[in-house]
Amino acid sequence: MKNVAYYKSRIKTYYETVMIVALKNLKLRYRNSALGFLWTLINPLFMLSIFVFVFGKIVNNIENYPLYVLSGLIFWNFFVSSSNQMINKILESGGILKSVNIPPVIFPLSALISNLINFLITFVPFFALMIFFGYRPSWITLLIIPYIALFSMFTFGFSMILTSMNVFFRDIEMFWTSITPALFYATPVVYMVPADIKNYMLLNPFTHFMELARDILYWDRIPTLGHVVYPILITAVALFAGLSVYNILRKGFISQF
Amino acid sequence: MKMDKAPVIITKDLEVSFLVQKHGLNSIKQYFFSFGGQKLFEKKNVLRGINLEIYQGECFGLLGKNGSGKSTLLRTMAGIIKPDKGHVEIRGRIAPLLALGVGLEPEMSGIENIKLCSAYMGISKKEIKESIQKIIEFSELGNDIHMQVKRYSSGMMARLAFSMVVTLDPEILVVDEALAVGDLGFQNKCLNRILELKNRGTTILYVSHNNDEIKKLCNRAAWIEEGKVKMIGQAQHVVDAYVKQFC
Repeated sequence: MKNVAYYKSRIKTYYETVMIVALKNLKLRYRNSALGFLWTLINPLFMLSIFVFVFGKIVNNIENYPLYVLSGLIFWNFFVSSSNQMINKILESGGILKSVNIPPVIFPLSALISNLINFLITFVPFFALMIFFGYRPSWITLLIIPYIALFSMFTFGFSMILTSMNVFFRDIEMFWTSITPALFYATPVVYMVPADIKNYMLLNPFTHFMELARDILYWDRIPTLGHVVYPILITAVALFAGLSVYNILRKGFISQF
Repeated sequence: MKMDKAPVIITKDLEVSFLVQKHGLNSIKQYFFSFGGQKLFEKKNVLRGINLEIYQGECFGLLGKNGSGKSTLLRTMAGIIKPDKGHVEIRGRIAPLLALGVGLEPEMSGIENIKLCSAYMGISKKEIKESIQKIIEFSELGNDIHMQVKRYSSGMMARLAFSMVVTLDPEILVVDEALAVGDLGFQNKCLNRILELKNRGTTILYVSHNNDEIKKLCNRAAWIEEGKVKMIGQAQHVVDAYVKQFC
C-alpha cells in the first residue's frame, strides 16, 4: 500500500516543516533584541580577544595565533550552541508531539538547521577577519564546504544521543552544560596538540575535527588521508549511534510529556 | 446506525500502556543496588482492550470521567501513541484540533502561527497559502491576526486553533474538548461548521463534557471507563446512562 510516492510526499512535507520551524527559531532569536544578529558575532569576538590577549602571551609556539584560534573557535562555538539548543527540543515540544503525529526528530533537526544558517551567515565576516589576520584563500579553501556539511552531521548525530536521553532524565542537560567547558580545554581549540600526549588527545573525537579544520583554514594544505578518514568514520558512528538511540527511546517519549 | 457505510476507523483489542518514571534518587539507588532487577519505570495500563468501528460520515462522541483514557484513545487513533497490543486502522487524513495554546508561539503573530501550526499538521505550503484567507475570515479576528499571540485572550486562541482545523477540510476531524472557551457566538458558529462538515461526509470524533453538545451533534457515542468501552450505542442513550451514574 505504502509506495514510493507516498514516502516522497511525506519527506517533502517533513522537509517543509523542518524549514518553517528552523526559520521560526531564527526569527524568534532576534526578535525583541536591539542588536539582533550581531550577537552571534560579538560572542566569539569576545572569546577571541580574551584568548589572543591573555593566552597569546602564554602560548608562543604558534605562529599567527589569532588565525589559529579563530579557525577552531568558530566550529567549537557552532557545536556547543547547536548541542545546547537541540538537547531540550524534544522535551520542549511535548505539547505538539502529544497532539500531532509528526516525528519528534523534526524539532532538534530544525534547531540544528537554524543554527547552521546562522553559522553560515557569520562565517562571512569571520572569513574576512581571517583574511585580515593573514589567511590567503586558495582552492583548498573550498574544502570548507564539505567540512561544514560533515561537521554538521556529526553534531546532529552526537546531539541526538543527548537529546533522546534527556527526555527521560533531565540530568543529561545539566551534565552536558557542566562538561562542555572541560571538553573545550581537552580539545585543541586554542592550543596545538602537544607531541608527547598526542595519542591520548586523538581519543577525543573533536581533536580530529579541529585538525581537519586547521588543515583547511590555517595551514592551507591538502589534508592527509588520516585527517579525512577519521572525521568521516567518527561522523558515521555518531550518526548511527544518534539515530539508533533515538529510534530505541522514541516509543517512550510520549509517556514523558 | 450507519452500518451501510464503510468504517474509517477500526480499533481491535487496543491496549496502551505508559512507562511512568519512579521519581527520586531513591529509585535510582534501588535500581543500582538490585543490579537492574528492580525497574526504574513502572508500567501503567491506560487502555485495556478497546474495540471500536467508526463509520464514514458519522459523528462519534466519547464520554468518560477525567483520566478514563479518552485522550489516549484519540492519540492512539491519530498514530501518536503506538499500541502495545491490537491495532488501529485509519482510512483518511486525520486532523487534530490542537488543545488551547498548544503549538502556538506567543512571540509571533496570529498569521505566523497559522503557518507554523499548519506545518506541524503536515499541511503543505501550497495548501496553507490557498486557505489562509479562509482561516482568517472564519476566525473573525480581523486585524488582531497581526498581533502577537501572547496578547490574545484564551477565546481568541481557541478561535485561531479551531479556524485552522475546520477550514482545512479534513477527512477525519478530532475535537477534544476545545470549544468551551469561545464566546457564545463563536461556539454556535463552530457547532454549525461541524454539522456542515458532517453533512459533507467528514467523520468526526468528538470528546466533550458538555452532554447537550454530544446529544445534538453525535449519532453514536461510547462511554469509556478505566480504559474499556463500558457502553456503546446511540448518543442519546449513552449520554443518558452516563449522566445517571452521577445522580
